[in-house]
Amino acid sequence: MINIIVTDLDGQTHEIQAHANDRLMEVLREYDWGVAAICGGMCSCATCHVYVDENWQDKFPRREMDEEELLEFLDHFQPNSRLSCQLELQERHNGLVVALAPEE
Amino acid sequence: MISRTFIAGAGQAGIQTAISLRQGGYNGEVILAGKEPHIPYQRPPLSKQVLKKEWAAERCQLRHLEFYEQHNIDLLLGVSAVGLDTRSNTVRLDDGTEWQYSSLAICTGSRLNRLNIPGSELFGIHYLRTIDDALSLSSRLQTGTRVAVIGGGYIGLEVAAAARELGCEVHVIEALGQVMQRSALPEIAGLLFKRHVDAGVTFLMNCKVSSFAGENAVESVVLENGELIPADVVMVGVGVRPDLRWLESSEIETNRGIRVDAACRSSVGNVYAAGDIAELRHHLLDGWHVLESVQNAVSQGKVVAASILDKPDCYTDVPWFWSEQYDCKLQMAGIPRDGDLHVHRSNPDTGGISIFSMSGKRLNAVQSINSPRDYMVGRQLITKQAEVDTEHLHDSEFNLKELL
Repeated sequence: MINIIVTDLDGQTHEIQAHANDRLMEVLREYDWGVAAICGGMCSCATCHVYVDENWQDKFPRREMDEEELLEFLDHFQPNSRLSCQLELQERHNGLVVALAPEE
Repeated sequence: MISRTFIAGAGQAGIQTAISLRQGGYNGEVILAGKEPHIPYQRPPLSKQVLKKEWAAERCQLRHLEFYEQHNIDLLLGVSAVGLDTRSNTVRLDDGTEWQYSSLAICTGSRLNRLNIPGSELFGIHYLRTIDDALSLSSRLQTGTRVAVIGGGYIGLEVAAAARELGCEVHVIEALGQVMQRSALPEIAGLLFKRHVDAGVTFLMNCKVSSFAGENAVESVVLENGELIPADVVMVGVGVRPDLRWLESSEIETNRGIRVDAACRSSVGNVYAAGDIAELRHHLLDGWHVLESVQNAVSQGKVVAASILDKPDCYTDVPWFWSEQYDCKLQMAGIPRDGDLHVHRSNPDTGGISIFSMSGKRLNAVQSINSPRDYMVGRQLITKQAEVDTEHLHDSEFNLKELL
């Protein structure tokens, strides 16, 4: 099991659990405060946008072109923006810290 | 007086209605009744990852089973609504049970158009709507399998791409002169067509099917011009339509679908509809529309829940759609209008292209292949109903961010 610390849009912090090989989006959408994830993980809609804590950014592969292009013009884009459907969790992500980005 | 929302249909619209009701603090009972025996799942991967055996079926589940218990959503699986009496607020299911409701959300979606021609009952003729359909079709696709796809729309082309990637020999038979005629602009459709041809798909355009030949299993597709297309597997993708049969004797006003207002209310006050079965007006579109898309199902599900919670919302989201075929990601927002000017933009970073569909300075739609950036900007511009210059959209050196 992997522990993840998530700050929701109301500023509340939640400690949640995930399994290795889960994608972060699939874990987050189970919660009422979680992400919408409308396209279901196809990197097509940008409704699972999160900010990855700076200490954890380089623990994931870099953004591919389609993720980069979907994110770059969002109003709430930040350098640590990611689409959580593209983040596959592994044991090394135990303790991961992320925050949800506001809906567009 | 009971407090119970009965949701008929456990697809994307139904599940969204249930989730949004609980998120919005609904205290009554929530019953989510689905026709299929499976935990509610998403359909888009069926014609892509599931067909290609990249995803196990379970991965398509929209929520884990525990989610429904935790949220006090009662799942009734393997049952269909067969009757509705809006005077006694009762819905009847095919297992003989009757359920009273205080609010009813109709999310029963669409049904497949089926071919009714000689040989259409032969083994090897497939349709694709449910996860069982996808697994059954997938099990037949092997290297060298001869596949005939009937219909060059979204589903047909996605199946053709998956089948080619699995090493099948693929023919696509299309009655019209262009693929994706109903949904894509000609230039976009033409590029996808070319991508399929490059991948080795053979197209038979302007061709109609008259029958299927074979003893027990299909052996070939017979065209109206007499030509025979040998096939081990046939996949028919000739569209869907709202399934209104169970509502025929009810008082609900229907046309192509159930007519709803911007708050997703039907002609009967406590009956709502969302998703593929709803026919709506939209402030960005002329006339009535049935929008068959995940986005529409999710957006309308949220609006239905808001209406039931007595915090009526209005459906204003720009419609959007996507498809994936080979290395092409097709993304579309808005709906082009007749007479629109089509502005081409290329994306030098990805090799992708976009077509912006404009009435004067107003953007009605954007359709992109491998250019998520243009698609996102277009979607935002349509939402804002911003005025834009066609030169800016056409000039690939111009940074579209300046338009936002």
